[in-house]
Amino acid sequence: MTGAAGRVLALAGLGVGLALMALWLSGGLAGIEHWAADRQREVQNLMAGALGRLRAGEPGAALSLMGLCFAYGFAHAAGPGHGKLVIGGYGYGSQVPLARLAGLSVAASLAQAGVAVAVVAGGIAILDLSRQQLTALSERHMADFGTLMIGLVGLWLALRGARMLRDAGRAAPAQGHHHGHHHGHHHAHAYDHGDHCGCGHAHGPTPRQLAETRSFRDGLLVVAGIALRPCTGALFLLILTWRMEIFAMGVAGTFAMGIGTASVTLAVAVLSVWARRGSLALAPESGRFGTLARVLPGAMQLGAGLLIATVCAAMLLRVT
Amino acid sequence: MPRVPLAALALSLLPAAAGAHPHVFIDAGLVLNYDQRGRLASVEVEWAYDAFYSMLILEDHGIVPGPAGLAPDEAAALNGFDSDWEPGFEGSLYLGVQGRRVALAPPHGFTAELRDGRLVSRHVRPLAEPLPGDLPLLVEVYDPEFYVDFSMPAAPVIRGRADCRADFRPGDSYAAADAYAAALRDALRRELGAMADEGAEEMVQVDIGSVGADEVRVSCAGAS
Repeated sequence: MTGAAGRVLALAGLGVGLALMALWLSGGLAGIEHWAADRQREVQNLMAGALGRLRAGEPGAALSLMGLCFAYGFAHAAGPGHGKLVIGGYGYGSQVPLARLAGLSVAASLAQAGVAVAVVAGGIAILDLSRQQLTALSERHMADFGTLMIGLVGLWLALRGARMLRDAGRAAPAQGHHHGHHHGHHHAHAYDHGDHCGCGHAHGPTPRQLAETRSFRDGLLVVAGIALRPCTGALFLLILTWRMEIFAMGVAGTFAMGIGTASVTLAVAVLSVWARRGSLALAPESGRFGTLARVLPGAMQLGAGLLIATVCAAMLLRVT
Repeated sequence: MPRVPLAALALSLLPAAAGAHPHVFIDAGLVLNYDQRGRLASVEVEWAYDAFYSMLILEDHGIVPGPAGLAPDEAAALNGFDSDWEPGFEGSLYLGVQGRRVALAPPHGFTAELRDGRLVSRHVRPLAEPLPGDLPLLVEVYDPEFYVDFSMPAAPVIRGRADCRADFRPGDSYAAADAYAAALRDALRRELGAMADEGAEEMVQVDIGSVGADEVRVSCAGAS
């Protein structure tokens, strides 16, 4: 009863994910991007007003600036972007638990804000860079480096997916069944450790230890890849507030933008894990198509990884 | 269709992932100047920057405007703040006649003022050669890289002739995002194809700014 309901719920996740994907690929989300650009135009003008009132020392201006920054981050992230690609792809393809992925997407957004603060503070105070030099540093060089990191996450996922496929091919059918039975029992658990079932290696670190090192490395790459592409809007705000000598306000505003961005990537994280469960629920647990259940996680991981890596490669080619 | 479905999928995703986010918003206004012989001689261009970017430029110049606006020396310091065009920058103004692009001379006469917290700059673009006025003219204002999101709130002013009509079409801004996706996809397909052929390295040029941008068609009743 609960099992069936869970399966239906999981499949619904896959459905929603596929529908969004289809909309995106067919350009159906272009309207959202347009909406986002319009909001950004409004928010940008309002932010100038709030900064002016802040300089004049009007009460309430700080709070209104924070609200606007949050809205700016949200609008900026509402269009599809690099952070959502990597969070979505990683969430769908790997065995990362939802809580950790959610934590990663928030951490990445906040780290992105932190990097923007560090770039501006370091760039102005230490290197005495001009606004043009600062934005060029961020938009050209750092952005490329971030894309490279995300591409590495993709390759890393793809490599692991390929290994899982290889191991699934080798594993004895009995092990596959064993895995399958656990499945219905303890859903989340089985997914978390799907990577290691049927792996067969008994020596070396325990699967748990391996998983922890691995997810730490994954997490570091994901966070760094996103964080290294600071938002130009945040740089503008930080440069402005530095010169207006209200840098603390700029820092707070930048983190408010980060929280706005995080609220969108968080939704992507939830959706990607939901869609992953739906895909896994598609596979029958035994019978003629039982093999599918063993092969599917590896194939999903390989596919998601290749997709991320290809998009990153194409982005890097574009900016050569 | 490309041979590798995954590559095709990635290419479709790319425009979204590459993310064309505008960071500066400019309202553009134009004046079309016709000479005594009825030929289009120059275009006066006005750019009203968004308040946030205006603030940034003011801070670049160390100017904090008082309630009365800019002091004369501040206004003088600001004149020409956006006159230093990088090589390759075309000024975001495009004139077309019979499907051909009309050559423009370098800009001159830069001025700037502050209006309601927004910087408004002006400059003049003479045509390389005066253009016979009886040819139907297409005027567009856009940034091919979409770093600046231009819009034209009002139709251009026509000076020097009374028999011209400006057919003003506010852009379909939804079209811009779609066109960006399509243009980038095509460009990358070309690029990837070229690489497969001979390993050629070329920059992928994506020009979408004009699609959905505000455009004006000007027609005058016969040469005077």
